[in-house]
Amino acid sequence: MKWYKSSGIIRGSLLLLLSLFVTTPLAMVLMGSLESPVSYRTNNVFTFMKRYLSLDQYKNILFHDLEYWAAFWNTVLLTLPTVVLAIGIGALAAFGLRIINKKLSGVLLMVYAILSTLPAQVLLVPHLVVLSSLFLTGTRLAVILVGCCSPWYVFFLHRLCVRIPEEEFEAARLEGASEREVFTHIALPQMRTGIMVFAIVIAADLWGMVEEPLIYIQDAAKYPLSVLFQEMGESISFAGVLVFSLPVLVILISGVLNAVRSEER
Amino acid sequence: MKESKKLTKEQEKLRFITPGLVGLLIFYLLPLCYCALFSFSATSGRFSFDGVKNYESLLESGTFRMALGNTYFLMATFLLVLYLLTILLVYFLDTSKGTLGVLLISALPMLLPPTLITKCLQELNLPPRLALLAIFMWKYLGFHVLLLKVVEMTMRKEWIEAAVLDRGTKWQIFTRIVWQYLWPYQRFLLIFDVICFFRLFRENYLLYGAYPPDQVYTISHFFFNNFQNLNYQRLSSAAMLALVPVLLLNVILLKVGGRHEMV
Repeated sequence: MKWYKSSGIIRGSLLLLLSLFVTTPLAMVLMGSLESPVSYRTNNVFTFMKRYLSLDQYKNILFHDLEYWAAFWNTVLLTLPTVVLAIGIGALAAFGLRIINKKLSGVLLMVYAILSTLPAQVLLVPHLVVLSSLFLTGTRLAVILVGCCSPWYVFFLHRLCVRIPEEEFEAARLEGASEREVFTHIALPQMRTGIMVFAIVIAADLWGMVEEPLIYIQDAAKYPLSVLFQEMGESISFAGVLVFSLPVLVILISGVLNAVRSEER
Repeated sequence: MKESKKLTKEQEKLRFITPGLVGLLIFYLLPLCYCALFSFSATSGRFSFDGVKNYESLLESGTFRMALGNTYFLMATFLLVLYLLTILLVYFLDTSKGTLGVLLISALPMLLPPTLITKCLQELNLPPRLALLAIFMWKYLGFHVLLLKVVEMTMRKEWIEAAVLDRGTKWQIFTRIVWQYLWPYQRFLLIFDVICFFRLFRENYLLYGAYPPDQVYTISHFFFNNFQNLNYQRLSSAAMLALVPVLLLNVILLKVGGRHEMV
């Protein structure tokens, strides 16, 4: 069977190329963020360090750039409620789809599946029409509501509780549990890890939203940081970009480490 | 007593899906119907059936034609390159833990905010289409290969061993066994890629602004720039023109090739 595996050289070099390709942008941003905006003359080691290993950019952001933090806060305000609502509505709907009559759930799931395949841009205009008739344009609530009702959230969460055998629900019902208790005591605990993964994934995705705030909220004061990046153009520093990506990076890496650790157990 | 209890049981179950359905209705189903209706309406406040005039005037607009053409061309090209690179990596790489670890790290860029890669590309001055292609690969290649490799791990080794005994070449084994097994997931990935391509608008917008070079001016830019100028009716027609082919393509992909648990 050994000949079936590709030679180690090919494998190794492909993996090396892939990892270089993926990490180069991160390395670039990291090195760029350590470069001081003040161009010191690099005569000796000390001035070299002052220029290329400085924390000036970080200091600028932390202490001088209020606009940055306002936009950062906007991002949080737009992302967190959406994630929470998405999980709430989605988990309930997923469980509901699991327990209602099969024909109805089959039809609904197909509707959800087809709607999930629509890209966000083609829905921008329809959303705007509905939002303006609900007088929600210009508010953060618009972005939150549209975001949390996305059909693929329900679809994904439904897949999480499909694996739970029907017998467990029946057993609970025989012991007199109401549907709500079946949900909280049987379905939810088994969906828990999946929901956490789901939360991390959609939070990371929503953290970088650009077109939704731009279209639904025309107010520059409420824009999240990703939009501000375009407004400010070149002047957002490398450090700014890194700090913005930091929460996402931290959550992702800790999620990955957690998964690896639980694999080894 | 028992009958009324049974009724409320069903109602209780239905109550779970209600908030989700309401949200779906208001924000997805109704808007689509609105859009479809409006696309046939004349440009005024009230709805008045005007036939396909909106569509005609849109198709006459050079900007719109360029945007639509660019969108489909770029989508086809990017998906093709991604597809080929994915096959390349899936063919040559194995499913050991080390490889999966590297693939897991390579899959992370998919979730990073668009600002990071945009900032990088602002420094390097690549031609626009190449820049977008690089971003697209950077973001999605890792995830694709990771998914297919994880699925490949569930394949039974006996199939490959049997094929080896039958003196199959590696290429034959790959195309006839491995790829057939992976195809349903690749099909899901194709549908997923269409959405990913439209998400590329984020990086596109952050890099080039609302009026990018002609080669990368897509439908998303058209919508974006014309929100104030065009009325809702004309915008709806544009949305329909962009939406319906994608929808048809996805429905075809979903139906053809059999149902699979992933989609």
